[in-house]
Parts: sequence; structure tokens; C-alpha cells
Amino acid sequence: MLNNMIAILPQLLIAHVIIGLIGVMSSYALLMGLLKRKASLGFLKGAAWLAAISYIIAWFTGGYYYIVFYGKAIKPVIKAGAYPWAHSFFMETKEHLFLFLPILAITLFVLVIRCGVAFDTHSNLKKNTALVAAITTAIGVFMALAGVVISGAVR
Amino acid sequence: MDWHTFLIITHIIGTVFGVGGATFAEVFYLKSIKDGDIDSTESSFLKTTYFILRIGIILLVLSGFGLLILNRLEGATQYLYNPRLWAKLTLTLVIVVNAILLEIRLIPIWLGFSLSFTSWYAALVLGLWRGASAAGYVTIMLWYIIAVFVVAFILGAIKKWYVE
Repeated sequence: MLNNMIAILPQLLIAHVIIGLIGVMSSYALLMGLLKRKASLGFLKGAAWLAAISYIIAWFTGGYYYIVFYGKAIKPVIKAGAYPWAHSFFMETKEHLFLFLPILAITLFVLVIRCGVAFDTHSNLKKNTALVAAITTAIGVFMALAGVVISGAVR
Repeated sequence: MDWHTFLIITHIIGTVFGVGGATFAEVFYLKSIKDGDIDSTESSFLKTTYFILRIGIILLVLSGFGLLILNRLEGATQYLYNPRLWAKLTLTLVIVVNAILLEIRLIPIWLGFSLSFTSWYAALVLGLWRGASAAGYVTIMLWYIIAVFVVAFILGAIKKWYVE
């Protein structure tokens, strides 16, 4: 059982990174769609759906990897190495921002599904949805770059 | 074919799409504005070029992070603190933020086009020029900023010569 769990850890890390990136790209695509004068509702719905699904899957795969492996095997190596701040600053920040992403992505999805038809007539609604998409994308980009910093500290 | 080869090939295809797309976006734009009006055919060519650019950046980001995961899993983590890598990540960020700024018209066209064009070519140069790591992140970025303004000047001169 334990050996099976350890064997799937690289796959979990790969899934976390790649699916997380698909989430970032989808929320970015949603943002770009919302910034256009005439947004295609079908495109917005697709991007919002893919962003929500991707962030949720990246959340579970990353969370599982963190609980089962990172805390026990990786964190002590980083803290004892030359770059302990990679954990104490970047991973600690990532842990907290981690909670926001799926919630923001689901909020965006619900907004597009429920209020998408009103985007062309209510410019404030569209602008504020774009703002939420921008915040979601910015957090996603930070998470990806922080992941590179943390991985680079494992020596 | 192993994962490393597959990811490198995908990364090169992404770069080719991006650099080619950025070049042709500039060429088609100049040809389009020559008569003072962008007609539907010209608009269609520009849209297709931007679509190829987007495919390029998707391939580049996914394959780039794929290579980083491979480094992490193979224990070659020292590469993840390489200044050339962080310069390339910065350029990728510049490309995507620049696209937002151009969309909401918060950046002058001459600067936006130069940023896109220079960033793609700089990413290509950094990808091939391994020795650039020795220069350090700040030096690489300073040269990049100088290049953005030099390219803006050259593109402006070409526009003046060809269009006006």
C-alpha cells in the first residue's frame, strides 16, 4: 500500500503542475475574452469551466502530495539546505493562497454561467468579473513561479 | 523517444510558432496599414497570426514547465535557479501582460509591438545561448530593455519608410 502511494507521487506532482498551468492559462484566456469589446459567451463559459475544473484538480493533487510526501521528505531537506526561505516564505505563502484559487475559479464560473448574457449590457459587471479573473490569474502565476523556487531549493 | 527529447521538440516548435508569429504579425500589420485601412482579408490574416502566437506560447509554457519537472524528478534542481531560466520566465510574463495592456490600450502601440517582438526573439536567443547564464539576471534584463528601445526605433524607421 505504502509502496503504491510512493510510486504515484511523481505522477501527482506532474499532474499538479501541468493541470495547474492549464488552470492559469484558462483564467488568462477568460480575462482576455472579458477585455474584448464583444465577448463570445461560449468561449467565456468554456474558459471558466476549464479554469474551475483545472484549479480544483490541481488543488487535490497538490494537497495530497503535500500531506503525504512534502512535509515529511522535502521540507526537512529544504530547511537544512542553502535556501530555507524557499519553504519559510514561498511555501508558507503558497499554502495560504492555495485556499483562494478554487473558490475564485468557481466564483468566476458561476458568474459567467449566471450573468454572462448581461456582460454586453452591464459594463461594470463585465469589468469587475475581469478584475476577479485578473486576480485569479495573478495568484496562479505566483503559485507556478513559487513552485519553481521551491523545487529548485531541494538539494 | 524519451520525455526529454519530446519536450525539447515541443519547446522548439512553440518557439518557432512564437517567433514566426511575432515576425509575421509585424509584417502583416505594416502591409495592412499601408493603405490607411485594415480590410476583412487583412484582419483575417492578422487574427490567424495571433492564433498561431497563442498556440506558440501554450506549447512553450507547457513544455518549459515539463522540462522543469523533469529536472526536479531527476535531481538536477540547480538548473531551477539559473538566471537564464528566470530571464526566460520574465520574458514570458512580459509577453502575456503586454497582450493585456495592448487589449485595454494602456500601452502605446509602438512600445507594445516592440515588447512582443523583442521578447520572443530574446527568448529564442536565451534558449540557444547557454553562455548567457554567466552574465547574471540583472545584466540580461538590462540588455533586454536596451534591445526593446532599439527594436522600437528600427520598427518605427521601417514603418516611416514603408507606410509614410
